[in-house]
Amino acid sequence: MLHPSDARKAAKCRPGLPNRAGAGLLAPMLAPVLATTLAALLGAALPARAQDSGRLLATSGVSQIEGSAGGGLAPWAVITGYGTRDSVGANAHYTLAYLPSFTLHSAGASIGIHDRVELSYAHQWFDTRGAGAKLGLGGGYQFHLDVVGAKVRLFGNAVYDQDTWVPQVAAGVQLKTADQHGVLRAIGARSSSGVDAYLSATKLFLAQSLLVNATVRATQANQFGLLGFGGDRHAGYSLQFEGSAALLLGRGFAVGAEVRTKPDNLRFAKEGPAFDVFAAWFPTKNLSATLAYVALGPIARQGRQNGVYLSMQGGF
Amino acid sequence: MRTLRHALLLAAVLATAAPAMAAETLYDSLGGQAGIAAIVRIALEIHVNDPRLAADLDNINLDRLRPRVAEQLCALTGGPCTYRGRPMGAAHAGLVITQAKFNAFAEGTQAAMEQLGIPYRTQNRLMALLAPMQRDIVNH
Repeated sequence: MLHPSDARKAAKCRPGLPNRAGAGLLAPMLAPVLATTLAALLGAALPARAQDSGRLLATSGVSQIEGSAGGGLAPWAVITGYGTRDSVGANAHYTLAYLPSFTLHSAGASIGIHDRVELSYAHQWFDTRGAGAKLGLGGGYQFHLDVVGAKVRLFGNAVYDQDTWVPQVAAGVQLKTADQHGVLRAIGARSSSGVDAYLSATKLFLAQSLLVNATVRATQANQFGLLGFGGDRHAGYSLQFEGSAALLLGRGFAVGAEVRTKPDNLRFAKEGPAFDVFAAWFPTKNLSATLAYVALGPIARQGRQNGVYLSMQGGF
Repeated sequence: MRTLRHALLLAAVLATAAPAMAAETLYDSLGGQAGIAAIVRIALEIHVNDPRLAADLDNINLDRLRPRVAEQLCALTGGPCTYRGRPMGAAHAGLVITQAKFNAFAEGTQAAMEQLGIPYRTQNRLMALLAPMQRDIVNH
């Protein structure tokens, strides 16, 4: 059981690492700019034929919270961007979840190669705002997480296979590294880095204007990995389920809902499943915005964290 | 006696109404023969002006193509037609068709239906029938 003073000691026993609360203002402003610039440079550097933006509007999905193409919470079997099997696509995102006690930011970029392979990077930072002081970490204390993702489409095509029940299926990994090792150890986490592996199946029922996805994830992550990996209650991997359903309401406009179960590894604080209901808008293939109501469950003994989720994305 | 007459009348009304109550085919939802002809006319107009497709449609006789595509869509959507044209693979064998071109074709067809005010969900029902043709048509 973490006593606030333990966390304070843990936070203080890292003389080499400054508390990154000071970067709290600059980073959210810079991240989307950097991500969009990266995508634009990538686009400009590729020969014209290499980027055909040839897939249909909205079939890229959006970048989920860990940077993989999918919904908001779950990765899907779709490959990021709009490139067909002859080309390359990319996407950059900035996402904000404003919760009662915390603010979660995610910024990153992803590249889709020949509608087969996806590589992604996302940086998450989790601002504890006033709760940081309550937990003995200091007001505005931040947790950071880097996620490098890779995904391979195994078989199926969510758009074309309208005459079969076969979904588009992909397998992926997310390599996660959290900072704040001392604090994570103090709250009972086993490690500050971990690897999630998942299998996703996406099916578009075009005649019904309905998309569904199911993902099974093997993970040790506490709160996506922000609070480390494994714990004093449960140390190893567990299988978690993520489900999404989206109704296509109009050209480039969809509404839907998601659920994502999470491990409950730490004695220090209970962790539960996350839910969201969302509306996503794709005015063009280069731009999308997602607005959602998220219920991330209890986080770090601060009660249920229900809030607003906003994501802006650019790509090709 | 009056009850019986009413029952018979009701049965007669139901019998006449029954065929109309059967699920409307996509062919009907698209406006039948005239609706499909309009989709094909506008879609091909969009396609020949699409830089991604223009070169492939350069040497195509549109006056001959239009009725054939309309006949195909009519048959595909449950209308009273039989498609007598070539299979999709053979029909496109002389062209280089990428996924991007196939999708550009789909986008133009959607845009045509949009222009005609066809509801989005009805558009998707037609798209769902066209999408699997990718396997036969895309040859590059």
